[in-house]
Amino acid sequence: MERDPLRKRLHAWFQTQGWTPFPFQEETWDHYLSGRSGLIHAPTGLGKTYAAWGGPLLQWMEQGRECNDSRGSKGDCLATPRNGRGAEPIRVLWITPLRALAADTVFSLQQVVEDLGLPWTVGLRTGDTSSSVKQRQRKRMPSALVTTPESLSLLLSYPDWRRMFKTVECVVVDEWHELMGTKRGVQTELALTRLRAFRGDKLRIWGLSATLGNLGVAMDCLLGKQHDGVMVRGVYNKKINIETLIPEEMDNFPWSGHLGIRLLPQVIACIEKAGTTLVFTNTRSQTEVWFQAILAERPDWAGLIAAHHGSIEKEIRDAVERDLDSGKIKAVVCTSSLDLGVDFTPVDQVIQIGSPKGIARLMQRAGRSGHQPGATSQIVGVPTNALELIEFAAARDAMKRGAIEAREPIRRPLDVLVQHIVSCALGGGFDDTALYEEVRRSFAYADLTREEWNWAMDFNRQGGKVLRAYPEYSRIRMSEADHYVLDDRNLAQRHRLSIGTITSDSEVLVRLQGGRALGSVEESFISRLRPGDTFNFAGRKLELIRLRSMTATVKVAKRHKGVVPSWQGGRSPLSTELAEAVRLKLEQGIERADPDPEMEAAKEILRIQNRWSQLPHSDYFLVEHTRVRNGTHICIFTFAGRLVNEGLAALAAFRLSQTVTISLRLTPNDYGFSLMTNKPFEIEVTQLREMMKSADLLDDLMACMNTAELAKRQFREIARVAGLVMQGYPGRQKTNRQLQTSSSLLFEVFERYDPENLLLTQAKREILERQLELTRLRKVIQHLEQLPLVLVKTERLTPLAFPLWADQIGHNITSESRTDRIQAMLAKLEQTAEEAD
Amino acid sequence: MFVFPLNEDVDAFPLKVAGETLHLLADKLCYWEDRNALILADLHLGKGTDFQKAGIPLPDEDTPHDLARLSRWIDHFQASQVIIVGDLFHGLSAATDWVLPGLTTWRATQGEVRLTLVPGNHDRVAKAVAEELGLELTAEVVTMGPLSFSHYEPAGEADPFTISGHLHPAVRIKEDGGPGMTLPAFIFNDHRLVLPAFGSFTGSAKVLPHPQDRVFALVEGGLLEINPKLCR
Repeated sequence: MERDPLRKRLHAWFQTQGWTPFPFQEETWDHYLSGRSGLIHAPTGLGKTYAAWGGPLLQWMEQGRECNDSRGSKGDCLATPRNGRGAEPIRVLWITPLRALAADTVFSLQQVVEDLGLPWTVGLRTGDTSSSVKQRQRKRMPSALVTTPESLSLLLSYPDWRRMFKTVECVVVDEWHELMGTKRGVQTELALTRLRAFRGDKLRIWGLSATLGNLGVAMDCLLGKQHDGVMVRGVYNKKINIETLIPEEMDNFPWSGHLGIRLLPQVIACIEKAGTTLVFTNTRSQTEVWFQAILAERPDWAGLIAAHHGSIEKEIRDAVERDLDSGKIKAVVCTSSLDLGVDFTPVDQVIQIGSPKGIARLMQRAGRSGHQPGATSQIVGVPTNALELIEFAAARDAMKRGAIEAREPIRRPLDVLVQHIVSCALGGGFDDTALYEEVRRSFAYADLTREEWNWAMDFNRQGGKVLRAYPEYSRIRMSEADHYVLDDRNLAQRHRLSIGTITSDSEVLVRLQGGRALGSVEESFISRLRPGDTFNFAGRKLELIRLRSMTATVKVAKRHKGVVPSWQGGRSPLSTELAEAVRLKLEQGIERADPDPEMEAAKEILRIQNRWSQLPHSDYFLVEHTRVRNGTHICIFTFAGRLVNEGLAALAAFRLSQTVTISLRLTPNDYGFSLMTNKPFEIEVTQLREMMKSADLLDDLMACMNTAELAKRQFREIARVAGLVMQGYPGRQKTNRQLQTSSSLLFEVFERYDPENLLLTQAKREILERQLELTRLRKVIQHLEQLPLVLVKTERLTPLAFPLWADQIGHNITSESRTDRIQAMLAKLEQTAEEAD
Repeated sequence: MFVFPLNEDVDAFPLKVAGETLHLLADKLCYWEDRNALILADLHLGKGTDFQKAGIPLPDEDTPHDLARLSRWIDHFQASQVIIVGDLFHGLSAATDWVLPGLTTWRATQGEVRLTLVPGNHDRVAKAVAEELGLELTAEVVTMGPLSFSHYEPAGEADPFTISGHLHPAVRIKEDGGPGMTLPAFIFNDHRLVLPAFGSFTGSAKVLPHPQDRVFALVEGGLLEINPKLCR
C-alpha cells in the first residue's frame, strides 16, 4: 500500500464516508490495474459498485501521475472541468438492466469523482433521456456513461460509434444475474463482443452479480469464449433470519390461493412495531389487495403507507422512494420493482407476502433490511396458504445448505442475431465473414453454424427463401464484395425504434380525467372493462371513463366493487431448487422431535394428506385419482417445478388422448400437475406408465406442442425481436397502421407458406429448452420411470391435490373435434346463463 | 343448424333478407342467390408484399392463395358478379410489378365475371388499377335492388338492409377459468350483415355483438350459430 499514494486518496475518501475498503474491493482494484476482467459476486448493497468503480479511477490517476510527472504541473490534470469541457473522454461504460437504477448509479459514481476532485463527468443515457442530451452525448461522451443494454445497442447502431467509444477501457455490467439467461443478456453479450473486437486488450469487462448457483458459467457468458477472468467473492457475512407468521387457527387456513389476507392483523402488528418496513408481494394484484386491506384496517395510516409496483408512473414511484428514505412513510407495499436498487435505504424489516418462490430471491429481498455489513437481515414470511408454510421452512433449509438457483444461459437465439446483424449493417456496415467470426466469440453464439449464420443473413437480405424473387426489398444490402450496409432512412428509423428484446403486452396509459398519468396497465386487462366499471390501481379505486388511443381516462370511483387487474407474468413459478427443497422437507416426515414452527403448524394438514393418501417421497412416484362432483381429477406429483410440469402435463394428456376420446383440462403447478375431465374416468397404472414413459419423448412433445399452441405464444417474442412486428407504446398512437399485425397471424402465415423458416424452429426449440426445460424434463421422466408408481384412489381431494383443482387455469387438450368442444362449451354456458336468469 | 353442404367440406347457411336469399358460406363469404353474385370483404391483396417492401421479410403467397379460393367459388356457382365491400387491396404494392401481373393473369382466367368494388379505407390503388383489372368502382355506399353495400357498418337501423366489412369481426367465447376461443364470424340482424375478412393474412378483431344480433361463427370449415349473450 505504501507504494501507492493514489490509493491512499481513495482510502481517505472511504474514511470520509465512515467506511474502510473491504479486502475484496482492494482485490478487485489490483486485478483491474493488472489488466484483468472478471466477475464480482456478493449480496446486494455491499460495496460492489465501488469495487468496480475504483479500478478505472485508480488507473486514471496512475496515468495522470505519469502525465503530470512529465509535464510537471499536477494541478491542471486534477482541476474539475466546467461544463464537461476539458473533461476526461469516455473511459467507462456502465450497463444497468433497470432504468430506475440508472439515476441512482450516476449519483453514486458522481459523488466519488466530485469528492476526489477528478475531472471526470458521469452521464446518463436511457430511453428517458431527452434528445438534446442524447445529441450532446453523441458529440462528446461523458467520462463514464451509465446506460441500459437497449441504449447501448442503439448507440452501436450509429455509423460513428467507433469514434464515440474510441477511448473506452472498461465496461461494467451491473446486476448481471438479472440479464444472464435472458435475451437481453444475449443482446448485452453481443454488444460486449463488438466492443471487445474494437478495443482488443485495452478493454476490461467487469460484471456485478448477486449469488447464483453457476457463477462460473455467468462469467463465461460475460467474458466470451476465451478469457482469463477472475472471480471475486464479495462480503457474505450477512446473516439472514427467516421468521414465519404462523396462523393461530390452522383449521380454516386455506390450502390454496394467493390473495388471502387472513394474516392481516399480524402483518399490521409487525408494521406497527418496526420503524420502516418493506412489504414484498409476488404479483401486482397482490400489492393492490394488501395495500387496500391494510388501509381499510388502519385508516389512520393514510399517507404513511404507499404502494409501489412497476406499472405505476415513475414520478409517483420516485416520490414513494424519497418519502421512505426521509422517514415520511412507514411502509411500502411493493413487488419486485423494489427488488433491485443500488443505494436504496435499508429498512428495519422486510415482510414477504406469499410464497418465497426462490431461495436467491428471498435472500435478495431480505438484504433490503439491516444493510450494514455484519448486521442481520430480518425477513418475516407471511404464508397465504398452507403449502407456503412449508415453502418458508424449506427455503430456510436450502439457504443453510447453500442450494442457490442457477441461471441457465441461452444459446444461439436467431431472433437476437437477426436484429444484431441489422444493427451492425446500420452501424457502419460489416464484412460477412468478419462479423460471423466476431459473433462466434460470444458465449451465446460460440456454436453457431455457418448454415445458421447464412440463414440469418439471407433472412435479412432477402427474407430467406421466400423472397428470392424481389432482391430490392431487403433490409440490408451488399455495398461491395462481402460488405453489408443498411442505408434506407425509413428502415433505419424503424429498426432503431425496435432495438431490444423486451416484449410486453401493449400497455395502456392510465390517466386521471384532466389530471396526471398514474401508470400503465396491459391492454388485455383494460379492454375487458366497460366504461363505468371500477378497478384497483396504484393504490386507488378507479372508474373507467373511456379508453381511446392507448389511453384509459379514469376518475376516482365513489362506489366500489372493483376488479383487481391481473397482469401477465404475475404468477412466477417456484424455482426448481425450492420445489426440491419442499420435497426434502416433506420427506423428513411429520413426526420429528424438533420440527420447525412452520412444520409444526402444517402438521395437521400433512396428517390429513397421509391419511387420505400418502406423503410424497423420493422412494416412490405418487399419483392420486379423485372423483369430484363434476368429473375426475388425476394428480401426478413430480416436484419438478412448474415449467417441467407444464411440459409433462401436455405430454401426458396428449398420450392419453391418443388412446381414449376425452377432453382434459391441464393444470401444472410446482409440485405436480393435474388432468381433469368432466366425465367419470378410471385410470390404470399401465396407462399412467404409458403416459409417463421416456420413449418417443421428443416426437410426442413436438406433436402435442402444436395442439397446445405453445410455440405460437413463444413466437410473439421472436417476431418482435426479429423486427417482424412493431410494439405499441403507452399513450402513443400506433403508427404505420399498414404494417400492424399480430404475431399469431404471422406464425400462421409462416406455417402455411414458409414452414422451414428457422424462426419457427427457434420458437419450438425455445419452448422445449427454455419453457419446458427439455433436458430437465427428460431427466425427471427417466427418474420417475425407475420408481414404483403408487396410484391412490381417494374419496376427497387431498391437501396437495386441492391447489391443482382450485387453480384450473391451464389449457385444454382434447381428442374431440374443435366443433364438438365448442358445442359442449356453449351448452354449458347456456345452462349457466339460464340458471342465472 | 348445418343446412345444406355445397360441397363436402364447407357449410352454408341461408338467410332471407328483404325478400332476397343470401347464403353465408363458411369460407368467409356470402352468396346472393337472386343475383347469382358473391359478396365478400377485406381481401387485403398484396399485404405480404407490402410488408416485404417495408423490409419485413414475410412470405407473400397470401395473394395467389386467396385468389385461388375466390376462383373456386366463382366456378362453383358460375357466378356472374363478385361484389367486394371494401379493402380488396391492402397497400400500394398491388399496383407494382410484383403483384399486379399476378392479378391481371388471374383476371384473365375470370374474364366473364363482373367485378364490383365498393371502396374501403385501404383501397388507395383501386383507381390506378381499375381499368387493367376490369374493376367497377362504386360510390362509398351503393344500392343494388333491395340491398345496400358499404365498407363501413351502417349506424343505427339501416334502411335499406346493408352488407358491410371493415371490422374483420370475431367473437370470443370463454368458460370460467378456461383460455377461451376467438372465432371469426358473420354478424347479422334485421338491418345489416357484417362479413368476416376473406383474406388469409388479415386477422380478426373481437366484437361484442348486440343481444338482438345473430352470430354465425366459423369453426373448422363449418358454421355455428352462437347465442350473442355468450360472447364476451
